[in-house]
Amino acid sequence: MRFYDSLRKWIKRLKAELFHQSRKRGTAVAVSLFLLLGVLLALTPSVSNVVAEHRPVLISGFYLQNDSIYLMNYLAYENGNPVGGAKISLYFSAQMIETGDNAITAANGYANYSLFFRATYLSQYEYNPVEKYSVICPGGTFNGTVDPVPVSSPNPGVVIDQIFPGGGDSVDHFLVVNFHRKSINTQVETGVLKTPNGDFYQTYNFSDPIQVISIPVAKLGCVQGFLNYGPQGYSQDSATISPSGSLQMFKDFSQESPDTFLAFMIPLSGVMAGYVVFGREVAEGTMDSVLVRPVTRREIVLTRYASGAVGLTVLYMILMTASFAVLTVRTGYYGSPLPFAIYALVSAVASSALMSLMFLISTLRLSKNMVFVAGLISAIFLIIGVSIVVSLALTASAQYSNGGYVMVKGPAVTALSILSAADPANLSNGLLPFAYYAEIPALFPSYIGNSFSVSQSILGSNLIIIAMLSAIAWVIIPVKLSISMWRRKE
Amino acid sequence: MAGLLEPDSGNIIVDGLDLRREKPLASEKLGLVPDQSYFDPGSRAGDLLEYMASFYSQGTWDRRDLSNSLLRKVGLLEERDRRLGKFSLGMAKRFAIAASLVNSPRNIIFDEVLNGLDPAGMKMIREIILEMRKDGCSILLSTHALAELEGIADRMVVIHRGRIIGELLPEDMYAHGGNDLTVRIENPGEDTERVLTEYGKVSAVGRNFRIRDANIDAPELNAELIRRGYRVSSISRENGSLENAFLRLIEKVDQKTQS
Repeated sequence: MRFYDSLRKWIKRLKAELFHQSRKRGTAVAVSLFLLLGVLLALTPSVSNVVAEHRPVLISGFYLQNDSIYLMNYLAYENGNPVGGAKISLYFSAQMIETGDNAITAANGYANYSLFFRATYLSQYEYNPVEKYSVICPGGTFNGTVDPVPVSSPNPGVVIDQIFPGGGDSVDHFLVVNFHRKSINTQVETGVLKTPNGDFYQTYNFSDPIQVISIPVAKLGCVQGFLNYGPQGYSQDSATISPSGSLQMFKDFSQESPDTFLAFMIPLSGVMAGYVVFGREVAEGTMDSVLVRPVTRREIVLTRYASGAVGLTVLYMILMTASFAVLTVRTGYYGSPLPFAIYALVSAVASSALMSLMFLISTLRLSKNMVFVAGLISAIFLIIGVSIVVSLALTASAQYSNGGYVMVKGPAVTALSILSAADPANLSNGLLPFAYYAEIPALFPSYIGNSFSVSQSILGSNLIIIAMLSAIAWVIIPVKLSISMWRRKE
Repeated sequence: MAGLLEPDSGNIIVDGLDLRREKPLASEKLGLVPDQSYFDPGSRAGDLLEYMASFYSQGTWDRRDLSNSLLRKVGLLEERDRRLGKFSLGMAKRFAIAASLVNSPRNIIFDEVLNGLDPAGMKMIREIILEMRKDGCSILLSTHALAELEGIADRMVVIHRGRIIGELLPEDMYAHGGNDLTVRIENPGEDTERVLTEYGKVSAVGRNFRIRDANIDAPELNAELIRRGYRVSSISRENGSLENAFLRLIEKVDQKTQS
């Protein structure tokens, strides 16, 4: 009964706090800013990815699962529907083809290898659906039915042609290639190759041992490349293709993912929320008007914190719902909203954790402007630090539970990239031995088949659990310190 | 004393409740009107009052009614939807009074509340204080405007350099206030000031002479001046002013400290 009364009192207090915070001017400003950026996020695909009508795109993605690397390619129209009557060719360099049992012709499994994908249109009579292929990556076991077909360009190797009959929304329309990984150090690097005649290729480089990460980390789950071809029905002799030239990032046609947005918004929203619900009032001294009420410092801190966390969760839910709605309308695809909900939840937890830091800073007898600046600076450092810790925790946990392979999200990879740029030796001397990465197909999960289940399980379990655990540390310690600092003698 | 700071020592008992140990319960019986506005400038007056009321037992609609009635009481009902950052000093003080009355406290602290107020504001606060006094509330009013306490305070405590140096009741004012006389002489001469110095410390402004700590009563002084040929148009006695009592207490303490 006592617990029930206490709970009822807390809920009543929380309701009053939420109501009060929602009517503050600072809240209006912060929410407006938040939603404005949210709208920009929702509009990003239309801004950066304007595709000409009936101009299909080659969509490539990859993910890592256990000891395999899966590459997926398909051809789609702007609205995401697969293109019928097309062929995707997969070119292997010669050294990737095994000629005997468990043999590699060159480099003994520790060299760099390249794959080239490109799509061409076929005439109707060429339709000939084939099975998926299983190809061996350096050092692995040959277990597919690849028939090596030498081609003159780019170099002697093999071409696998996947022909799509068109129509529908089936995984069968994907060219899925499965590679075994030689060791847990195998990495994938993706990029887009532009040939002198203007064609684009999606490329993947496998390397071993660990190299500096160079994947464009903030892209959507799939990297998109435009086909520089004419109308459907046109075909081109693949033998004439010469994929040479320098690799360049495909920024002009890439699609931003929520990762980029959230990497900024999580710390920023945490700082803003902490400043609005607590920091500013403490720094200004206006919180004294609350302190004379029948409430303790502890109750004030906790109820204000709870109101901020609830507010952030609601905001992220609104934001992700809006993003989901906008993208659904734009692409005509009615996918699962689950990844959006998970994104919202994880973002709310992470930003709430950062909010606690703002509470602590505001009790350090700084002016209100200094509180805000200190909050921003801390958030920047914290996001990098947390990202590294999370990526290490994820990979370490994956090594023991999932066979050593895990996808690491954007902010973590960003942090690793920053670190490696500052001191590449850190990555090569074994300090960060499990730096695997992959793009998480957040927005179009079902388009890339199996990767959906992988990303979902990681997002839905490991990430949330780790976010929760780290949030506990990031919340409890600063909040407890805030209460004791605030109780200090003035 | 309102629970904002942790005390170095001692206890604060409000209606039998220790503010330090039973803060929520004790604070329910206490109100505070601060010396300067300490309210969130980004909040609207009505909203903030409703929020303050939420700490007590009022329901949502009761809170709205309460905030309206309090704002009406302090003459700010028209400003209900205005943000506090836009309030003048006087308006902010009046809002502070409204906020302190949210819980109808039986004990209230006015901290330097009269500073910076216009005469109308002072009058309003004076009336509120007198009304609360009439209702039997305990009021603690700290101020440097001592004249404003006369006629309001039942008991005065003088604090000098952080320590209580004396306690005064209204009837004590004469005893502590000394015997100051102000004389108006219509035909003062060059030696008038010297003559008056025989009766105390003299300061002159035109035809008015003030004798501090006079060693003679007004009738005797009047008779003496007439005997010396002065035309006296008035003699007034200023003993018992709170200000005098305060100054004398401080002088005594300082002298004692020096010796």
